[in-house]
Amino acid sequence: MKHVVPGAENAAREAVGLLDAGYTRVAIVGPEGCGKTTALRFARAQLIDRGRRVVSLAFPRTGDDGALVALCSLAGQVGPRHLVDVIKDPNVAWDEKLTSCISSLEEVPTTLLLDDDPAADEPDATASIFARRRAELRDAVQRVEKVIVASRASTITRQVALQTRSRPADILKKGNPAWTSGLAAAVEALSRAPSEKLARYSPLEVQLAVASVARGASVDDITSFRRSPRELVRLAFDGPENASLRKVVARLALCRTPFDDQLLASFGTGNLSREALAILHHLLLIRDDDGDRILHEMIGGAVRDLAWLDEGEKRVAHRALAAWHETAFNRAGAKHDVDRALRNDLEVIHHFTQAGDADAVLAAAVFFPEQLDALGKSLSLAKRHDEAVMAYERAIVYFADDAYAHHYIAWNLDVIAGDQERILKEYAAARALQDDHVWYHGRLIAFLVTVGRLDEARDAFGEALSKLPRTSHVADELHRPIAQLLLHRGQVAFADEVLRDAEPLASASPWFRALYSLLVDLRDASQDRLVFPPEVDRARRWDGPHLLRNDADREQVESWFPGRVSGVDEEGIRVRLAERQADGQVRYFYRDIATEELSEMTGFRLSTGTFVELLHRKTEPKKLLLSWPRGRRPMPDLGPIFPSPDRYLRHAFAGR
Amino acid sequence: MRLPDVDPDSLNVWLFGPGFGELVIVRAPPGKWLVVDGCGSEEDSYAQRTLDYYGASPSIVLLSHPHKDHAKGLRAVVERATRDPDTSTWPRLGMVPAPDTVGAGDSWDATTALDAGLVEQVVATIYERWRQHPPCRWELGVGTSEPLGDATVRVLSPTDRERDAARDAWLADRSHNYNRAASALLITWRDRRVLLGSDLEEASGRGWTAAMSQDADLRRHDVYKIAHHGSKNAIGPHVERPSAPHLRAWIATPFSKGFKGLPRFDDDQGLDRLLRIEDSIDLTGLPREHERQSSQLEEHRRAALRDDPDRDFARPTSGFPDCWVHIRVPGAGVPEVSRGPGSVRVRE
Repeated sequence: MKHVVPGAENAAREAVGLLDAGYTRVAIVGPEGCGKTTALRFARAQLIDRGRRVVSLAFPRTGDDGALVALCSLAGQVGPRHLVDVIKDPNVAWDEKLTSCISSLEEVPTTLLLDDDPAADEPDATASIFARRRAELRDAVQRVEKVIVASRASTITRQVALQTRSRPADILKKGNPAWTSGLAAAVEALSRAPSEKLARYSPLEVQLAVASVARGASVDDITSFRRSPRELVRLAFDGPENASLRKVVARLALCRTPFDDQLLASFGTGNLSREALAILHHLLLIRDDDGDRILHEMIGGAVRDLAWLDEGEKRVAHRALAAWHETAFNRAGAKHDVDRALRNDLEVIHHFTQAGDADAVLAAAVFFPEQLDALGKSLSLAKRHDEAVMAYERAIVYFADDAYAHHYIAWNLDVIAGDQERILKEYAAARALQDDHVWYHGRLIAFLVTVGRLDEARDAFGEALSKLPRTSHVADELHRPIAQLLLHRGQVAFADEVLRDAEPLASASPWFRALYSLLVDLRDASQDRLVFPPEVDRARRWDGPHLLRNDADREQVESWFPGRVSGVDEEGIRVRLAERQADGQVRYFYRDIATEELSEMTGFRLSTGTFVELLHRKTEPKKLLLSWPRGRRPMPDLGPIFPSPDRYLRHAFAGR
Repeated sequence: MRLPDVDPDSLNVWLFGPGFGELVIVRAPPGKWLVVDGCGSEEDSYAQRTLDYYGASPSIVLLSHPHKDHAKGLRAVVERATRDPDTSTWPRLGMVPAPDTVGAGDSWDATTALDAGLVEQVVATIYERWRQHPPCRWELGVGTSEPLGDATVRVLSPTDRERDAARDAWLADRSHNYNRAASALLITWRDRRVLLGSDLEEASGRGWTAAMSQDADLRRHDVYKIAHHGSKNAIGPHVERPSAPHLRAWIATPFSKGFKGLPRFDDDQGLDRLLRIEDSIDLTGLPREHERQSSQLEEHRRAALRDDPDRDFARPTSGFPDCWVHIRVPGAGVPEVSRGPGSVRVRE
């Protein structure tokens, strides 16, 4: 049953009422920016008034440490000192920490307010250790007695739906003394717009609309059709005059906690115009119960997507955030605010990780080996493979069975053509620790193929098929890269086996069709029967000639033969040609063409590998040799193989 | 059809060349086997099938140079021969550390991609065994040698300079004539000499002339696997008649994919020039597609092949074992040549 209520406070009251009525699971649902998180804050106050123990759980929207942050937050709110000590000890395994925390939650009747995890909807939410941890935490908190979830959609049957339509008149309050004349004019202009068109927007979106109009967008831009939040953000910050504001907001979008004016100032608000400051303070930022400021995630997410900071600027911003959180940590410690201290400690590590400051993270006292995994991932993405290996090695010191870390030690070494014995050992360890993970199989097999251990690769592929489910995801992550690598190495028979196995799962995929087409061409090549370039659709191959510019020229053609130049020297060329006979059979043959004759047939110098069409004509010149310009095989969704298959050879021979 | 029996007390040399690709297998008393290069396909390795036929495992496996027509089927041989975890059983594995893998992954021309990809796989396969078991490593460089039973296999080329030039070209993705970095080999047993020419070409002061500096008496040999499929570019001082009369068996493998293929039968081309030196030359096959090779022992005059190069045979080959020539080289006396279906004896 769904109750539609206007306003966050009403929604909270409704949800708490349902709990009072005996329901143990209630969802507050609504689109982004409609006030779900605010509703949870109201619910919290109402539940505390009733004497309930209430804990809140929210996953940060960015970073790989979401589950760690959430678990620390739970432990900090639940509070027993020994639990916090357990959570902070990197030598205690994740499972044990989770169990301890949930057991503490269960000791006292508790209501959990869960700001839903957007990662829960992602496909294959257990692909990385970080996603698995989130899933494990989400599952574990289901044991809490009562739960209110705020979510865009929910499977919980008792739902309170926040009214999604805003009342623009309430939001476009005139006469706010802090507003500049530009903002006041924007509000005025929007107030004159048909209210039903603005009502399509959430309150926060209406605020963005005000900023957009103030910064030069027309009311029509906003009301002619419903803009996405991202488009509204782009409109609000468009133009060279907004460059400073864009940078400030982009830096704030990297911050995952409420922040104070000190941070705002350090991010450059001093350079903003009065109007830009007004937009920032009154339209973009929200104040929380403690008086700190928050950039709503709807804006933050859009800003991050729009990538207004380059990598260097991002690193600087993350370092500034790490320093700010260090200060905040010290402040919280002085006040014995365990929850806040834990969070700031994690944020320091997170921002150093994002800044790529490996030394700082490795020198810090981490709570979880997974924080080191996150560092390893960050360094790996930054192509700092040696340092990434060090981070993962440190993770394994705390958690020897960290399959993710074993795998990525191998992967990072593999990318740089490192110690092959070690790579094999680490890939094998990852696979043994988690044999249902497709990457751990796939990358081991790819490594074995790459280094010339094809027989072992074949065995490993058989092992993978026996352990992995038969899903399209497995086909994408296992069959596709393995088949592509095998085809690159000319291993047609093995590639054929791989693609045959994938066919029931992936035959409609563009990558499957591209690889299968390549397989057929390679097989033709192995039998010296390749006479058409990949550009010519297989079904249309014999509808030639394909290289005539004018259809009228067709009438002059008595016969045509597709072919490929198979050899060239100073005296002439040899062409492999094909002819489809009356019975449909195709006959292949060589034709040697001396240089003199060749010059009468074509004006081009042909190199080995050029695809051609030999035309016999009714008129002069009686014979023409037309050639295809060299092109590229269209391979949607394939891309080049990474890492490059010849990396070990180049590494070996370049260093001689 | 069977392959010839092994004479355990002689040096036995097999050459295969089904039109494209080349394989040499040597058995030296008291039973050591050498494989040089490969032909056939990944699924049908002539080298492995021959070894299987004789129940042999090789003591030495070599890739004389990293070219598509020398690499086919060699991966399977190396993998099979190095399957035993006891690495002391592994053969010596030789190659020139200057791979030619340009074209691997070519997205337009699958033939180039296939050929270069196969070479890359073979080179990776050998290199990995070098890494796993360094004693099996044999970098084919001038002056290096290895025992093969009672025989010795000696490397005549490439020079360090040619090897480095090939490697540098590969690293820089430049086109290069990798035949200059091909390894010609001299196998000596008692007083017998088998010269395997690989694809080494002659160039002023380089190639065969440089190889002669390793062994000034190269023209004194019992068996010669003619270099570079009998191209005229590979004719050097090593093929001249020796000062003392000496019966020599000369065998060439064909290359089907160049202009008119190799060897060329035209006047003043490779075979014409070679037949001015030796009375007859045995080809493992003709420079044409494998399926158009003969199922019979062929014997023709050069002029006939020159004038009618495309002649069809009444019964084409049915596949392995075909396009082979076998030479039994006894400790003393005349080498004995036997031939398989598809092979062609050519006289002037």
